[in-house]
Amino acid sequence: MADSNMRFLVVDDFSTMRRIVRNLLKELGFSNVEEAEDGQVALHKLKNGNYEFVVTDWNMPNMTGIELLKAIRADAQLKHLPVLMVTAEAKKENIIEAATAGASGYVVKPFTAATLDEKLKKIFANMNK
Amino acid sequence: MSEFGGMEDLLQDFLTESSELLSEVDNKLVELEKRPDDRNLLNDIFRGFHTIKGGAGFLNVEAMVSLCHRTENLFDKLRNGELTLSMENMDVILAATGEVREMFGALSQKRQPPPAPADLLAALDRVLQGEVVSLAAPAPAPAAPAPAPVAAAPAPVAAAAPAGSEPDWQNLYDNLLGNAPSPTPAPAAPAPVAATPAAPAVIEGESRAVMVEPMQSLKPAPAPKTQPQGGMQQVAAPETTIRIDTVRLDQVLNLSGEIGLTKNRLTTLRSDIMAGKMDTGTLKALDEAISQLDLLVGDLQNAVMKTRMQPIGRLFQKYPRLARDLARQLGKDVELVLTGEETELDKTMLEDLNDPLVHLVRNAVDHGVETIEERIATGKPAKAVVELSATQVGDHILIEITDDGRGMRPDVIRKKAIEKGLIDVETANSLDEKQSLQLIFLPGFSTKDQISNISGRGVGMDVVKTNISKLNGRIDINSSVGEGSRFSISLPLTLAILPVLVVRVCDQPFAVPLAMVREIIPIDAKQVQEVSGRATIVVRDEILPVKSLAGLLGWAETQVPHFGVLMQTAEHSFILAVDSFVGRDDVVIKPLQNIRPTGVAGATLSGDGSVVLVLDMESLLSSNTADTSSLKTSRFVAQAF
Repeated sequence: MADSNMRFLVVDDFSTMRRIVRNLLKELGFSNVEEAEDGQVALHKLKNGNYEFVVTDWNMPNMTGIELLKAIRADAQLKHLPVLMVTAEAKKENIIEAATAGASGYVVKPFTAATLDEKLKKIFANMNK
Repeated sequence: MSEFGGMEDLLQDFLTESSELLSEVDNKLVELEKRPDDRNLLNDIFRGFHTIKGGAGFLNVEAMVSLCHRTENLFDKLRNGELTLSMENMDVILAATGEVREMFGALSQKRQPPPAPADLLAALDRVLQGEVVSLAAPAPAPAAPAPAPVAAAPAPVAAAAPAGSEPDWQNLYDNLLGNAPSPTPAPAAPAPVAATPAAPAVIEGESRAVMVEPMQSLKPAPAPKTQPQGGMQQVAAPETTIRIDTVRLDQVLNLSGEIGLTKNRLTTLRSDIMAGKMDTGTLKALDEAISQLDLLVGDLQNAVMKTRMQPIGRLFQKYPRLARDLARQLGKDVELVLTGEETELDKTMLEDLNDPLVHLVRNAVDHGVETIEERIATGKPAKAVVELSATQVGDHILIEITDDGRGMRPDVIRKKAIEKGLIDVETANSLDEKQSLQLIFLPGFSTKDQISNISGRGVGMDVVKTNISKLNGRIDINSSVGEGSRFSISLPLTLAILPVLVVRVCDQPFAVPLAMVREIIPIDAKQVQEVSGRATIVVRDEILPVKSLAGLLGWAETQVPHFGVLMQTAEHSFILAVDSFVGRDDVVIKPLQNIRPTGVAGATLSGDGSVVLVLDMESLLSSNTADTSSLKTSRFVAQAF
């Protein structure tokens, strides 16, 4: 089981959605959660704080989730960060795009705490390999 | 599972944020009518629906998910160039946003909204397939081709896709990543990965299929809506929450901390002084501490006030859609231009301003602006422009609604007012042009002979004025025939703190709202002239009546007034004669309990702890006939010799 003190960054332009994800994470025992309202803000925060996990929306103004993901993977310091894409884009092209850009996981809205838990566990398992 | 997916506490957040988002979408749609190919607009609108859908999904609001899903798909196709927007289809889209707004109304009462009307969903599905669809528009719209019977509509592609045909994302994903196959069973059918996005129905890796049901199984809508455009008449409960920039909240916190420190300093100094330590150093420290407290409390008041300030754009953004719908109904071409949306105003005032502003915008579109034919006949551009602007002028907010329409004719307004029995002929003849325009604020005044369902109900303008007055504001009209009209609303920044000028008369201090004070002048007996038996003073070529405050209060003067306060109310300017001044002050008005003396707005405490009455000039003036309060010239003349 992952450290419950693990530091999350939840990225979404819709603050209600950030709260939803935050609440779900809390339900799973993760309460060390910070928020960012778009990719740009997120990237800035990531570079200046010790985050261990990124949960990001896809569709955002300024910098989309996929652009954020690419930027993370291109950054020597951040590239090992696990990134879970949260999105309603249930299209094949999108999934391929996320996978090739190096997303650690992909979850389609709406989802329950159980689904999120399953996704996180899978990512943790892969990280420990 | 509970009704809102166990997220009831998030419902209010969702509503607040989504309503804002929907208003933005509405405005962007109005913009889109002008620039149908603007990729950024299409993208923003897509994202708006997408975001609302995402939130609604978590709250189990299936009706909203299924509706937003269609509009989102539509804008996805539009932004990708798969479809082009036809103006006829705009009505369908706007009806959809109207429907979403109605659903917000239901949600705000903690009810799950019923599914959107089946004809609306069917119309959206047909638009999605590239058809041009006309909604049955309300009466005055140009004769629309009868909409095809709903039943005959071809089965919508997206909604008809059976949920089971959704590809197994997890498998696909794992394969792509080269992971072990997912333990979740894959649907048997080879997934036809359609170009159209599948319904957001199935949560990957879970068997729980929620959300969108195929169209056919939708229950018929409870009552077919005859007027789908009614986006603005939602049953919105007043907002009880406020969103504050955390920077502002931190300021309040910092300042209260600082005040705490200063209080500690004062407590120490008090002990010192009580123990008899009164040396220069101690007194200097006391002086410093109090000065600092003074500064900090001022800053704190400001900071607290700022937490209540909201950009007026939150109000303004609802109106372009309103103006557009109304203009279409009336067969007019009107553009509502917004400026100064970032101007901030106290939240409570913002809410109370909505009704007056809605009325004024409707009024401008309905009465102010001419029909397209009339405009062309008078050589004006067919498109009328109504401008709604907000600016901060000193400690006031100025909101103006300007149209380039036909303007108002004072003679016609006077005639109407006489016909309606609101004023008599004699009064009418004594009114100048500006005063005549003010007649439209009388209860029962309406220039439309035919009562329309738009704004000619004869209630409204008087309510507008009453509402503005309640906010300590003023409303003025400027109009020139053939060129247009302008309604100017002037409001104080906040109702919490009132800047006043404290004057003295008969050895008693009174506070008058500083907002009404234009300037202070000495009253020189030689300048006082008698005009029809009343004292007047000419100030920069303006003949102004002199009214004594003692006279207005019904007191006998104890001395000849030496100073005049040049005051301006909505209707007129005059000079208030007083004995002397105390100075200006920012006060908090406390209403008087049990007694309501005419002309007194409330009371406040002055720095020395004495009670100061705050005067309500408008009611003080209206309760006095001109004769008792106007100074007789002889008083001044007697003094001069």
